[in-house]
Amino acid sequence: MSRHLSMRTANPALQSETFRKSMAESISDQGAMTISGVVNKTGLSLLLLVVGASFTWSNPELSGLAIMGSIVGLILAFVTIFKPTIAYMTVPAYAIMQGLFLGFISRVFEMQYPGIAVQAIFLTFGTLGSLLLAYSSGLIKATENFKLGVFAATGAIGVLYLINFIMSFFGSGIGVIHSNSTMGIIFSLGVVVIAALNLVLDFDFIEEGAEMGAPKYMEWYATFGLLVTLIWLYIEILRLLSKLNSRR
Amino acid sequence: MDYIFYLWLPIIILALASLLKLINKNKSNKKPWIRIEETKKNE
Repeated sequence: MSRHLSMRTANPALQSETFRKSMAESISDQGAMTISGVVNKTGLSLLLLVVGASFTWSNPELSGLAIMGSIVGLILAFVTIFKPTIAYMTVPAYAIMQGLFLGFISRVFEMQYPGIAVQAIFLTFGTLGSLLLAYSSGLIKATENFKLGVFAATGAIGVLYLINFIMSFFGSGIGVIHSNSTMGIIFSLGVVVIAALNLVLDFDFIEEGAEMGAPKYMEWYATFGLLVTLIWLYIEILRLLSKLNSRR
Repeated sequence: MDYIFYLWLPIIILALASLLKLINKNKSNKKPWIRIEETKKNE
């Protein structure tokens, strides 16, 4: 029996229902999903993201390109979720678009607090490496309760951000999200922890897909899920670091 | 101390704990180096 007890993950892109749907379709001649395939595709996507990011990083006056990148990225994300079979096209494009956005916001933060972007990059990949080690050693297991907890916490953060977004139209907002007070920093720290724990769910999703022999195109889909979590984690770390720097 | 240190601390602790767990797992899987067997008389 599979040790991946739950079919639930917090990441909306990574639902095991997706595997069932794809399994129903033919695995055909493409072969099955493998962990090494996901690793290679993640490496390639991160490379594309860096290419996009370096462009807006070195041309911070192109803010329109960054906004376009975030909007097109969002559209591509939805296309990928609803049509995973074309993920091999949408995911590389998504990586470039998100790169354009991340390069710009990183530069904006960097101009305000020099050195912040490098710190955020190292912390993001440090967290990824550490959690990968914890997952592979069995120190952290994606049990049913773990998944439920992360799912609930991610949902709560999502709702909070949505309320804040709606309130921003009326010139208001949830103070704790942007505040650099102690509560604001504790909130940001909590969000970073939840974003990091979502990585464990992503690893579990990838392992499950490989064990179940999901179709090859699911490698791109799993890459997409990992990319979404990594981008979220990076932005939250950037936000936390800026709050900490502003108190100096 | 710099706040960055406190952000790296849990990452480093988690990595070290995972490494320790991996080492212990490998230790328990290993066959013993020495095996003591009972010997019969005049063997």
